[in-house]
Amino acid sequence: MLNKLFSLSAILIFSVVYSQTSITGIVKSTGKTPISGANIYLENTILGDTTNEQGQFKINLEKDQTPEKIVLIINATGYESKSISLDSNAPLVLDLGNILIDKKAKSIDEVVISANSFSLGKSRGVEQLNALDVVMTGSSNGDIMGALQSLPGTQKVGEDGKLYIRGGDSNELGTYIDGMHVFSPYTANAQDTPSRGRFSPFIFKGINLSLGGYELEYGQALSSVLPMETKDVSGESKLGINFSPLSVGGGGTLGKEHQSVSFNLNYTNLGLYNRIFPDRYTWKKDYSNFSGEGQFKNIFKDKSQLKVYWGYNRTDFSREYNDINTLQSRDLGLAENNYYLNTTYQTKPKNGLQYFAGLAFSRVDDKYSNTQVSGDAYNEAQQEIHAKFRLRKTFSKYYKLTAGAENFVRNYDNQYYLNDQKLQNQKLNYFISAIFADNQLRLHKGLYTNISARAEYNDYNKSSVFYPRLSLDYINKRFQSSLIYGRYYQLPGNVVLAKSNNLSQEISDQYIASFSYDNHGISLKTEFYYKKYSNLHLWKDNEYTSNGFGDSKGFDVYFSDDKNIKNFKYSLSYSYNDSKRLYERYTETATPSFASKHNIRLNALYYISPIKTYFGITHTFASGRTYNNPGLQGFNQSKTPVYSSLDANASILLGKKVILYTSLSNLLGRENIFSYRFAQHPNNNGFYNNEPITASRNRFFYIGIFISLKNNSAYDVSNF
Amino acid sequence: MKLKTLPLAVFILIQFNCMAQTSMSSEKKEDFLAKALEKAKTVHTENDIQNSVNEIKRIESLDPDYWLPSYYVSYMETSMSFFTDPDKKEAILTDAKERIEKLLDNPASDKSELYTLLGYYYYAKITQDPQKNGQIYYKDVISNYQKAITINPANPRPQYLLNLFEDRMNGFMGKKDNDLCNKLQKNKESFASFKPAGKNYPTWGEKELLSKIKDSCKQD
Repeated sequence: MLNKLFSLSAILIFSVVYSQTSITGIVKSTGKTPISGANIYLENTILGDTTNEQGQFKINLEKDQTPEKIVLIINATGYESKSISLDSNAPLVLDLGNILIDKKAKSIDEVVISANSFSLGKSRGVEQLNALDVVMTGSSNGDIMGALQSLPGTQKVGEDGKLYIRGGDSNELGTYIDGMHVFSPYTANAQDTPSRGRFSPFIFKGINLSLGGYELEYGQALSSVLPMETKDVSGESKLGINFSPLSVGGGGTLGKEHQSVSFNLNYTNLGLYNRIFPDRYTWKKDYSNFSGEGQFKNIFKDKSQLKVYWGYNRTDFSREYNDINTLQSRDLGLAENNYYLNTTYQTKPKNGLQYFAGLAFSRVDDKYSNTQVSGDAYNEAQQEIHAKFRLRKTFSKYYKLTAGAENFVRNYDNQYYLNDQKLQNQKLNYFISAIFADNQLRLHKGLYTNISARAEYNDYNKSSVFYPRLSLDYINKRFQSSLIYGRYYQLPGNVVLAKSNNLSQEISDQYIASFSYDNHGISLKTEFYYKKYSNLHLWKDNEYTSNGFGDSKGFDVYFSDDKNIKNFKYSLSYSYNDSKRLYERYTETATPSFASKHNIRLNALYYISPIKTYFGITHTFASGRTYNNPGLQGFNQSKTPVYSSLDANASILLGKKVILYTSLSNLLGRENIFSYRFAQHPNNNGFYNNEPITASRNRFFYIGIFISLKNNSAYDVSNF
Repeated sequence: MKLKTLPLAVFILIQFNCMAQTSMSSEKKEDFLAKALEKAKTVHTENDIQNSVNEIKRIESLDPDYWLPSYYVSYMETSMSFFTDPDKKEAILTDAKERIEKLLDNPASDKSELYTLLGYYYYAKITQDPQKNGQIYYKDVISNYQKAITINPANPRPQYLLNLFEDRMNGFMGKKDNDLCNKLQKNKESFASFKPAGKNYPTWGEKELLSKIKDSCKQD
């Protein structure tokens, strides 16, 4: 019996020993660092091993059923897969030695080139700032355009409140929502009172301001573009209200898994506020603004998405205006209706291909009264229909194509009445058609290039233009650098086009070099730019010509840190700009009055946990702006004193459903002079009367409360 | 006598051979997964957890349409991210999220479990950098847990994780939820009455819940 048992065990042991093979090796990166935790296994089996700290592995397998062809697969997170074919007649103990694998290269879809752009929120894969930062920046009071002025490259024009970028006028910025153009993104402003962006920042998931050299999916903007993306379908329902001494508002969302409908209403009236804190002006009809917006979103079974956004904005006011020329006063009034409708449809990427189609309608109707003299009226209606189609195809990890076509149809109509008699009626109707192709290529690990083109035809001057754009970008884990060249066109504004019939498209050639460094919450960006303007509209001999020109050069530096000090975020930005132009009614080449040479901004945000409060402080400094004194030689020869303003705000989380927000602008009460207004003709003493243009009030105090009536998440002020 | 032992020896030899063979039959891959999951419950070191993850990845490569292996890889990677190196954390969380997104397209997958896992992923993202990411992702954590609950109100995992997360948020705000223990007791009942929809379907979370009740709630 024992003999049989012995022989039986002998057979078993023998078969085990003789039929086992082992494969060993060491997995290392191409930089010779051992890789631990890598998965090594035989294809189509579960036989395998995990590498240890030294990168070593050992796989034992039965020789008898090893497949004809042994393929060894090596997988490690963050590295390219590798497969090694082995001869099935390999020796019993096979040592593969060092196996080197490459780090995984980012697919062309994942690469985000951040040169020249700043993003708020979560779109584009760049998560620099939260949309809440819009509210908590300086004294923006929830104004997107105001908050963007804390970024470098922007120049402070306090009396107007619009975005001026790198020596460019405010109309050189194109604003887009979900890829569709917004013809009029600002609220109407009273003379010397800043306007605001028309949209609530909380409808957006991402705001990407491009300071220049933008992609040719967009056009008709000489300086920059501001693409904003609205949030996707909200799975939950919300309802909230907010009020302050100058406004009351509310909104909500009815949300299901694949569909949601949202709305937001707001009414602002400065009447009550002006009685408590009077400003410099005498209001005949208090400034009031009503805005309503809504959005419907739907995700279909195939994951494609439809969004329909509508917005209506009405502004009304009438203010006593003292005319420096006639020394008489009149009640300058404005009633504006602004309509916007935006529908977009986007498919889910399939095999790297994605389609987009959109239609947008913008209309602004302005009725001014007593604009030049008492008893006159000026009406202006502007309308734009924008249709766009775009496709994106990622061919491989080396090449991605974005191409499309779009069409803008614009209508313009202005009338000027004096004592009910129509003295002027200008109309304008034209369209702009464009096609574009944007090619993004990966040349080498970390090195990308973009070669794009856009062609446009407009039937105002019946000619075509061609935009080229080239860029070379180097991207690595912490550091990015880009070189960009682009040529951009824009037709002058409707008011100018209506007065002429042969103006060319204005041109800006942009050259940009950008460097950025991001590591552990620290971000440092430096950008150098040169913009050459040509064919600018220029008033000469009683008409507009296209003989204007100019240039703008400078650099921006931005530094921010949101990690190294607990509960504290801060940023510092400095912009230097040197601009000269001969355009509009300039009599000689001069620095435009919106282009200040030095702009410095310091921003800090601190969270005090025991009182659950975020404190934000912003200091803005800008060097003097040019203005024209007709009593002196030259044009724009004079300069205002420097601009300096210290603004503070606090957001207090009173509870999960209640947030109190308060802000005070110009804490130190400095009387900043934005410019001077001069009379057209000298007075009897040969002296030109003039008055400084300053803010309507020295300090602006705001306090508002946001209450969530129904909201499943806490501390969420968004009703969308 | 000799004749009897020979077939026995051969039989045993064949058994050794069979152990290494693979089979595409669903029973086999379910058994492999069950075994791998049992083993995963017992491991503690990072390297051993990675080894379990790799074993499950190999099961996944046998049948890419079987959703559970990829689900568990994503779950384990997310769990691992809490204590792994910061450099590795980003890579494994990215992989975990990609898996969840791919699984959401798979018609056979349990959407309630996937949204639970997605909420858990966003919670891991917050812990990656609480000061910055808390504000950005807290809504994603809550909305995904709620989605999971809406799809399957009987699923105890998102209910428990939501209570846990809201409690953490209250802690951050300096508040205390006095109703927490009642909520956790309800979760305990949910776990007890929960029946997984199939073999190897997720059942995790109960152990952590009981441990939390023990630590935070006085037993009456």
